[in-house]
Amino acid sequence: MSLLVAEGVTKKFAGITALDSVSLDVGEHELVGLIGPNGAGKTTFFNCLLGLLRPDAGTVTFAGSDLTRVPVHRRARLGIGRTFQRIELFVGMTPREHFVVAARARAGRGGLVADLLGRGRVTREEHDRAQEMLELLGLGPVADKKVEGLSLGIGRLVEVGRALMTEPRLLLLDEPSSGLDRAETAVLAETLRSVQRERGTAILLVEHDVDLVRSLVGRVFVLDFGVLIASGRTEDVFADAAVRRAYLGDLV
Amino acid sequence: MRGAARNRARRGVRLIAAGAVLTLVLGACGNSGDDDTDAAPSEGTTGGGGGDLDENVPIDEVGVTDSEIRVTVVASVTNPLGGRYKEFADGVQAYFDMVNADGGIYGRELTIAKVRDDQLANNQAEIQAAIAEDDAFAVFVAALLFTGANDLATERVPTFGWNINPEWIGPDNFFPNSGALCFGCPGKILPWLAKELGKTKIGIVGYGTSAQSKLCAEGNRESFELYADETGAEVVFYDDTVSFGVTDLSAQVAQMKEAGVDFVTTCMDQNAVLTLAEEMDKQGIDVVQHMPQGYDASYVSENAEVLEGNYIVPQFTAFEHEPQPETMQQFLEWIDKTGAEPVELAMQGWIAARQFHEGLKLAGPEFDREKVIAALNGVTDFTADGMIVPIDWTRQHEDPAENPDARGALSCANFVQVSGGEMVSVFAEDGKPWVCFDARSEEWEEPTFYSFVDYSADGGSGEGE
Amino acid sequence: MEELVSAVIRGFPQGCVYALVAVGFVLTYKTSGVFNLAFGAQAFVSAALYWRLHTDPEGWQWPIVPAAFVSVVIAAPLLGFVLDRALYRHLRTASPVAKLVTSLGLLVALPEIAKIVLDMPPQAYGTEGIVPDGRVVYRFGDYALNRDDIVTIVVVILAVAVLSALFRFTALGLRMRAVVESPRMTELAGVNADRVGSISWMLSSFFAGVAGVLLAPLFPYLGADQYFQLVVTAVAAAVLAGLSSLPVALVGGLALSVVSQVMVTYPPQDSFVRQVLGPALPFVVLFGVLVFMPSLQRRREATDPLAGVDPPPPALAADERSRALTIGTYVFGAVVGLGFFWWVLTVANSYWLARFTEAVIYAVIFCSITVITGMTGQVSLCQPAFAAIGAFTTAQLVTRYDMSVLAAMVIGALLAALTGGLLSIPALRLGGIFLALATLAFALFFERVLVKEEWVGGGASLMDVPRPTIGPWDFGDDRAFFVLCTVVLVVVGTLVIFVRGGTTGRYLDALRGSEVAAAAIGINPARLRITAFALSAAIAGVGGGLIAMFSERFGQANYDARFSVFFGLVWTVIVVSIGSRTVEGAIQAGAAFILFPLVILQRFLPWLLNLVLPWHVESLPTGLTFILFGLGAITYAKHPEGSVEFGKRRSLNAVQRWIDRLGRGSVDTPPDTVEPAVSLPTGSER
Repeated sequence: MSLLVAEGVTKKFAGITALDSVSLDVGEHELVGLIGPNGAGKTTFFNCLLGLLRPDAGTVTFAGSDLTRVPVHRRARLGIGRTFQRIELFVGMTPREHFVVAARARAGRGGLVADLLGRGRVTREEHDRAQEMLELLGLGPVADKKVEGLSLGIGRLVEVGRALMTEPRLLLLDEPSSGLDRAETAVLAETLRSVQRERGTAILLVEHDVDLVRSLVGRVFVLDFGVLIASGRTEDVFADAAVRRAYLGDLV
Repeated sequence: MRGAARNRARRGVRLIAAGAVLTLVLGACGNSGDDDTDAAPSEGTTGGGGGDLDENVPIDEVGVTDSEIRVTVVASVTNPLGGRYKEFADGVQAYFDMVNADGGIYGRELTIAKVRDDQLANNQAEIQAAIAEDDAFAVFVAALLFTGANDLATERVPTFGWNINPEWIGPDNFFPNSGALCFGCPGKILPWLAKELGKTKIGIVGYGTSAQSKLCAEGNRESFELYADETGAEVVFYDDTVSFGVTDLSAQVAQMKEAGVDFVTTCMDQNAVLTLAEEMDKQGIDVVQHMPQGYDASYVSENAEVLEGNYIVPQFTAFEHEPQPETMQQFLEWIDKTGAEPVELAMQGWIAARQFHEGLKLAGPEFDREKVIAALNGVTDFTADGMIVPIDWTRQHEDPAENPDARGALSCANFVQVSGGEMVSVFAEDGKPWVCFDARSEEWEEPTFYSFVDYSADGGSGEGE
Repeated sequence: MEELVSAVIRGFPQGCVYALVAVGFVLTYKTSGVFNLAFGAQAFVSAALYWRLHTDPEGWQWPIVPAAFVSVVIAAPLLGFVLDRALYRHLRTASPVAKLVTSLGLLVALPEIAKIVLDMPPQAYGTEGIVPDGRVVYRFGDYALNRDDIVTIVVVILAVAVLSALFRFTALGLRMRAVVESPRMTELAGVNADRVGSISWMLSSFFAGVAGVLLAPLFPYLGADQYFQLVVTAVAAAVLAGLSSLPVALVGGLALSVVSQVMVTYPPQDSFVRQVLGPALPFVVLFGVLVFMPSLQRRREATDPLAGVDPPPPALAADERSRALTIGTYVFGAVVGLGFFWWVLTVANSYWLARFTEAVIYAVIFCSITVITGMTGQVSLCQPAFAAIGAFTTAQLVTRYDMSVLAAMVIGALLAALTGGLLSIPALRLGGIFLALATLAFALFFERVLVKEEWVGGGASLMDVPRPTIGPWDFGDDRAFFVLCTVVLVVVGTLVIFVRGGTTGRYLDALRGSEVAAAAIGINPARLRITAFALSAAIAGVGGGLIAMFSERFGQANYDARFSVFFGLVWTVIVVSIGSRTVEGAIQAGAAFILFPLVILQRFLPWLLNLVLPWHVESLPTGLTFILFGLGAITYAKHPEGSVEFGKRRSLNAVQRWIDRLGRGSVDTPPDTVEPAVSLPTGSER
């Protein structure tokens, strides 16, 4: 059964149809890619999934419940994690602090009253989980440095780690390779693979780096001018003539 | 190049506090002096010199040594509002100089230990400093925000000063230059003035940002309504919502014009009064303005045209009144020797110092704070040698609005009118400038004229008509 | 109808006064991206100089033309140039909040500097402005204008026309706007952003100068406060213009004036409109515009796409101190604190006891700024209003219902929290400067409308507030009360530390770092902000309650002396310059606010100067307090942790290195810093 189902998602901006009845699904533990050339509507679609934009038509359901009217922060509580194309870290905090705060957010407990009673400190468990994540992502050496001073590749890993700390059932990655060099991309790919393997997290990868998609995902959706032009097993899609013509022609 | 020369008088004192406001309205309220039943006649006039006044007895009291009696002056010298309060200290100093030139009192000189500038917001801190650090027997206060009043009350420091704050009401060790103010008490003075001038369409304007100003405006309205039949005057324009710092009163003036207002009284500071006068000039309506504020020769001369014909209410016998009381001549002489200006606040300082001196004289050579306080509290007719409406300290500490008994017997005002950029004393009869009414009776009556120079509570004053 | 027409016509001159200031605001914002609350202070500087040169009867009595030339054409642009060179040039990519704090620092410091430099007397009277015989009235039928009015009208219309043309048709105008949008991008296009920035500042400062001398005759005496009052009124018109359209600013100013004319003319005296809405109009408009105008909210998203090119803001001086040194500093702090505590309890006279008690209470209040500014990164200018709510509630409950004073204080704090929470709901979507403006609007509303109400401020009479008793302990004695205040400070400080280290604090850190990312991990930004606001207001309310007890009698005068709107700016400036991130900073700010002028300016520095100077110095001008803290705050962009805090950390680090060197016996290289391969776009501090 599918974890995330988007059906007929349509979004118009000032008369221009940015998304035209796009449907997509991601199964449990599955690695799925969404590709398309620049301006194809990937980010718009992504924002619709996350609640940053409200679709004009269509529904998004997650684990069987309708997401359409759920505010952004609630979706995270339901088990959707995400990363950002233009990196969004908590400036002034260290990777460890990122993970701790995400762990706290996941647990969803605590609040002002607990704080006032002095019960808001970092727990042993949160600390251990953060440490675990630091090790998983190989961030040990920079664990206590402020993120402002870290490289983009590491920043991206911190984002992934932060999202994973909320123990999402589905991880949405928005162009994770943008701005990364080849080596960094490779590290990222390896990390994602192991995360998916070890934790069983389903991943939806929105990406324009075709190589990365090809090497990672089992199923792929192709968006062009707001229309889904192909979907299916990765090999099949990349073999599809229409896809080649519309999008991959020069690249493949 | 600046310094003392700076203190040249330009405009009168402003009674406004930053942003939020405190607006004080003195002349317009029914504040009054009292004369009542049996009372011990006070000592003679200034100058000390009586036999026992020279007797120097060792005294163990704060601020008193064998050779001097020290006081502190706390005034809002610098404030963001442009008020001029240093002159208050000058007035105190001038009076002290005069007394000291005559040998002081009880073999001691009167000295100002320190002039403290409360900078508007720090009144409490400065007063606490005066209490704890200055070794001062008494404290003189002229402050925009008298937030240190409570400390002076609990420490029982004899306190003198300019009565513009509600904080003066209550403590029996406070002896301001008039009996407890009554914010919002109706009186007969305003209706009388309008009637005397033949004005019948009254406009009243007050600040909406100050509770005191609102009360004052209400009191004024009530005054006119109470005596509507006798005076034929009615309030045709009333606005107590003006914002502090307003620079535009054109809407109010337009409505006054519409309503045919010919007499206006305000509960605002003199800045707004000026704005109002200018606007009335601009819109070309001929209105007489009654100004509770603005008793300052240079303010008047600088704004001669817009203020022409207006009536200003000094809180003491006007400088312009002839014949001048003897103490006025002494004031002018000694303020000149002190190198200061004879302005309203200087006179307030002088009167405060005079009252302090009175307390010392009454307390006797073995004086201390409590004796001075007790002595003054027995006084029923303090007039500062004829400068102010008599004060009866046996009853005038309390709030007259709550306790009618705390009202003085007389409700008085004396007036000057702006004429050709100068102020001239008006309405005086037989050299008696004070227009007085029975403050305890609501019955309409014609005024009695007083000069308080030879006034005593026994009734020895020269009654007018 | 005729009446309406005449109201419109009558409102015109005053409308032009508002418009002049609003246009100046918009001009500065357009050309520098700074919401320049110090506009009034700049105007005051020129007006003061002009007063000195021309109006002052004991001054130089220059003729109008040279005096105006020097004060407006020379001095004002010069001031703009200096401000740009020294400050704003370095802030071009800083967050709007940082720029706002800088302008607050200037607002506090500039007039004091001008007063000292120009040796202004405490009172500067003078009605004569730049227009010869400005009071001469011209009549047009039923209406009349004086020369000052006419010149103001002409200038503002001319200014709107000329400036609009400048922005629309000239390359310079385009560049000015471009530099604001993205200085880096503009440089890529071959424009010297620094030069354009300087010109922008000179232009807007010139305009402030014009407004300063032109409006001076409106005020019977010259004071920075007058201009500030005018500015806060005119802000509504500037915001109405979306901070970008000069003609709309003009229309907005006119509309503001006309509407208040109408409000004074039609509704009956006792009506709500007349009593409440009228006086509060500019603030209600400001608040409404901020909350309901969507274009403003979108604006805050706009950040320089190339901001990431600039090096990231310097990290807080890193904590690389050894455990020993850390413990050492704690011990030192504890010893100093306990030393003062002991001294105050046993030696100090009543005066110093009272001052220290005040300092402790202000430290409590300033903890509220630690929460709102230090933890959420927002600037609130209505903390004094929250404190006043606490104080007035305490006083009212005690006087009216004979309630226990501590219980009253707690209720006061809760009421302040409720107010803070409710206030933050409509303002939620606003960030940065717009939130600050909304709080300013509330503070002004409180001051102009609520304080005078008997059920708030107690009317013209004073309310007696006793000192508390808890069981066997009576805090009536001043020393006992000092202990109580200290206990409250310890409790509040501990709670703030708990909150900062707990869920709320961490979430707020995250939120400040990136709102979208915080939401993406499940943090509810709205709820968090309301919580922070309410908590901050509650703390201020507790402090206010203590102030009421400290004063023993409380009324309007106490409000004016402690909680007026201007203090909102001063408090923010002082806390920010000392350190808004830590409770320690709040405590030091409380001490500085009360004790700095008394101890340093009136006693220590004169003593020091008298050792070396041949003449006697009695005391230094108290304006120096404002100047020093104002200047401290303008470094907020560089040192968001506070310049004093920054200095402290740096010197501690120096001590650490010295210890290290002693320990190792060799010169050590400074600890490694990771050189970012590609620096992260850090986004704006929201």
